[in-house]
Amino acid sequence: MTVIPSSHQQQLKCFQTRLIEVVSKPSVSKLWYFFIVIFFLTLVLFPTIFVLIYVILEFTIIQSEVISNPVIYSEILEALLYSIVVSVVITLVDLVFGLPIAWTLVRKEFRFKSILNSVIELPLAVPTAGLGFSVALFWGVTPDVPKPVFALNFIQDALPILILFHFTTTFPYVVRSLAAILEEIDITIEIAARTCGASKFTAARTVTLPLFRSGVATAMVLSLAKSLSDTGGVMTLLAAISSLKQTGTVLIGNWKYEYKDAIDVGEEPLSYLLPGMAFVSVLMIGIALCLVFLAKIIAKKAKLPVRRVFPSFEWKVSEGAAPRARSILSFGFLIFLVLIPSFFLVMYIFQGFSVEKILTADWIIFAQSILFSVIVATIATLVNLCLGVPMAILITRKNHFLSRVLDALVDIPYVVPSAALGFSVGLFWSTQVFFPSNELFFVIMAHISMTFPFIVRNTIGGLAELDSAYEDTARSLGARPIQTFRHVTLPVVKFSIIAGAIMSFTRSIGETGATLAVSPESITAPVFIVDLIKRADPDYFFAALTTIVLILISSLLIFFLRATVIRKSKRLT
Amino acid sequence: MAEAHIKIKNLNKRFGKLHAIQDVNLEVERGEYVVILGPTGAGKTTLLKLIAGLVKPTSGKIYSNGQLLNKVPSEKRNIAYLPQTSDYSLFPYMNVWENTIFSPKMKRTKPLEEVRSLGDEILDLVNLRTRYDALPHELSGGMKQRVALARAIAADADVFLLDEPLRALDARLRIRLRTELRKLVSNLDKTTFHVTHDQEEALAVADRVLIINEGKIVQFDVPKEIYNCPSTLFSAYFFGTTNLIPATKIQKVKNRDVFQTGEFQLTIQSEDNSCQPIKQDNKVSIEVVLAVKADKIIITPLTKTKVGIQSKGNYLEGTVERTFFLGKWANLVVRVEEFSKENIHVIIPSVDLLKYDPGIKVRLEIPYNAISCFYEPWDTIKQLEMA
Repeated sequence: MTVIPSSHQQQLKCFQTRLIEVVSKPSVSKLWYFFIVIFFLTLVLFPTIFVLIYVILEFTIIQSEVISNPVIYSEILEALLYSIVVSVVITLVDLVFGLPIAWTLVRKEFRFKSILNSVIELPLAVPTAGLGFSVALFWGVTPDVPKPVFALNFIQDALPILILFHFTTTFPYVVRSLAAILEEIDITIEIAARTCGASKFTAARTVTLPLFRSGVATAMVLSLAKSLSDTGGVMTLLAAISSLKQTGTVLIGNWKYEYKDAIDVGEEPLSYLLPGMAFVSVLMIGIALCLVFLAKIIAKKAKLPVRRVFPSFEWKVSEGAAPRARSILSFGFLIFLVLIPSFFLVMYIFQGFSVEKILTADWIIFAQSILFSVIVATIATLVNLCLGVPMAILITRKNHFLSRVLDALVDIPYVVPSAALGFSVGLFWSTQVFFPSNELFFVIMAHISMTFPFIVRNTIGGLAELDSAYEDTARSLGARPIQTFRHVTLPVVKFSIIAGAIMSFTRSIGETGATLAVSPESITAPVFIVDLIKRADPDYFFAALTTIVLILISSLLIFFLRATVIRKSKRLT
Repeated sequence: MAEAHIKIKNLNKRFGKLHAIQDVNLEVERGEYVVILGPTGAGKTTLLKLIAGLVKPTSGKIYSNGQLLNKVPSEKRNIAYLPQTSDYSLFPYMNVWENTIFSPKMKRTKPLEEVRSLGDEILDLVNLRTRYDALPHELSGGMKQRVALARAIAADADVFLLDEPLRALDARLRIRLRTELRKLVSNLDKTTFHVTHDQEEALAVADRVLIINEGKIVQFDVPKEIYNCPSTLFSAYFFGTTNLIPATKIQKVKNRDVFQTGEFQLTIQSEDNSCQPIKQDNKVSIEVVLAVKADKIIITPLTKTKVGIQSKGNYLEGTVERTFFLGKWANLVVRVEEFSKENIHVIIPSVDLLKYDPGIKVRLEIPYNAISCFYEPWDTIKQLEMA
């Protein structure tokens, strides 16, 4: 009775065994790693900096069309200045407020800690294009829209509102990464310092802070990269307050629009547009790399104020009402500056609602844009999973000079501002001749480049937690490398991989700049939101609706992934 | 003589500038229990990893049963490696049963029923059948060690490489488990390499002890020889409580060497000292280090009547400075005026401790054959103490 299935099973097992044998051949695994490195270098890394080559080759055109055109040149300089000022200010503000909040989240026990821990992650799921006008509605004077209830509605200038907006987008990231690193620092040394007579504040300042340099560096890089790269959010923000100011990335986006509009009506686009975009992209990449490099140096070398101690003052700050006041103040800040502005657009759903709108709306383009976004984000994340995980293994587990080089290179797409990255990738694919021109494909490739570091970094973090001794043991007990990965490594690192996949997916689904700069034709949901806000009669209701649908998709995915992982690991145990 | 089971020839391993293993040559018989001993950073773990194939040698060859292993990947070597992690690198997500049958399951050579009965058999052997579904973190240290061993046995490996298998256990359990471990492995006739830095553990379980330092083999011999006849200053220093005395060779008469230390003269007679190949060297006035094990010194309270009886042997007089009660044994620190540098440590049964209060004058006898002489500069001691 069971003869047939068992022979079938045996066949399957035989096939599996043979497959494992083939995959484990040194030549096969070498070939696979070779393929991954080549893919990374040629299709992920190279396209992101391809624009450099373009600028070098076409420098005469840039010189004649852009640099010698005073109007355009000053427009570029002004935009870059805005980018630099905003990102530097934001980095400092993030650090100043991020450190105490992260410290409280990690080292203190209080009633709403777990709620706060999850609430602080919420803004991460909001696409920045939505966040942009959400912040604008809350703080700014929005001439085209009726003032929503509860809105503060008083800021008119671009600079303060830009800083407020970037604070909202970067702060959750900064707090989360600071908290994660702070958890690694052994609390016992702080306790030891306190038993030696230091007050809490003195101990934190003189003992923990110097150990925290790497954390501070990471947080600085994070907020720099994020604030330099945001496009969609800034576009909707500035459009909502009717400001004509631009940042570097917005300039790329706006010119791309002009370029597209010209082609749409069959005209030759203005001659400065293409070289101008390339020039701004290169400058943005340069600025990003310089600032990140500078931040790392500062975090590493800066003299910390640890020499002198002011006991009486510091005891006062550590005891009694002062710490409580500090906590209340910083959390009030968090709620007022991050959470409420992030979700303020929900207000507009209620206010802007009308039956007429629902009936006359173009639902097809709405559904299409969301579908587009989901497809792009899904494919980019899946491809990155297949390539990023082996890449992480290559970097952490193979003791090769190449791994150190790759380790340094992996982060580049992360630091490059996404609009510059998108423009560069688009340029790369439109100049090559091997693949047919397909906008969707180009957008996907841009998103792969953009999100690649997320998966690799997260997996590297997970692998660092697993002592390679486990893998050594498995190998010596007869497990092939692929089996070792499947049965020993994966169960431990899968949480990190999932976390990376979630970051990659949410980043990709909310990304405007990279998509827009490749081609404004391919309407993903965030580009659709920007379109809605920037058009002559802005439709805030639909923009808010699209944002909320995107948030729902992201949160559903996060929930679903976490649930399956948890269920599976429960079944295992 | 049968071919050695594991044979290592001119093995070298460099990590960048660090020369971790330097010209190691080694032959180990089948079923032999070898304990590798050395200070931190001596290259013990690297040596195991080289044998297991987890690290590639810079040069040199490793053979198993005469077969060259260098090109064989570690999963095909049939050598089970147990690294030093706090939980014996049991796979944390697998229960005892899954850990035990990990190797046959991965190798996919045995049918399922056979794997099952093998797993049962081995869990019986290590006495853990009842805990088959427990996860590693639910087990005690001793149990974890047994699971790790069961897992290695199920792999049907010829060679076990155990990197500090008793590290995370308390002292009493260590002593019990090391005997159990030894018995189990010997019954299965496995060739075993056991890394430790506990000298007592090494002497207790080893067939042969391999002492390595700075990547080089210092001595490879049976425990008794290693203890009684250290071949280098390093092995002399490493085992037991050893008195090291700097001295100058001043005289060589027939088979006697006379050494000067401070104001005192010590004599070594070579025929009494069979394991110590005295350097056939007639040079005098060279710097040497003399090593005397603390338990080989004969100590007696100094009474007036005994003064002047000096027959064969080296006699010293000194004052007890401090005493340490160590349970069955006691350690005396004796100050000898004639000696320039160190105090002399003497180990006596603690029942005799009553006789030696601090301040009491004593006579020490160092038998001729208890002294080992090393033609190494005194500075090496400083390096040993740093390590």
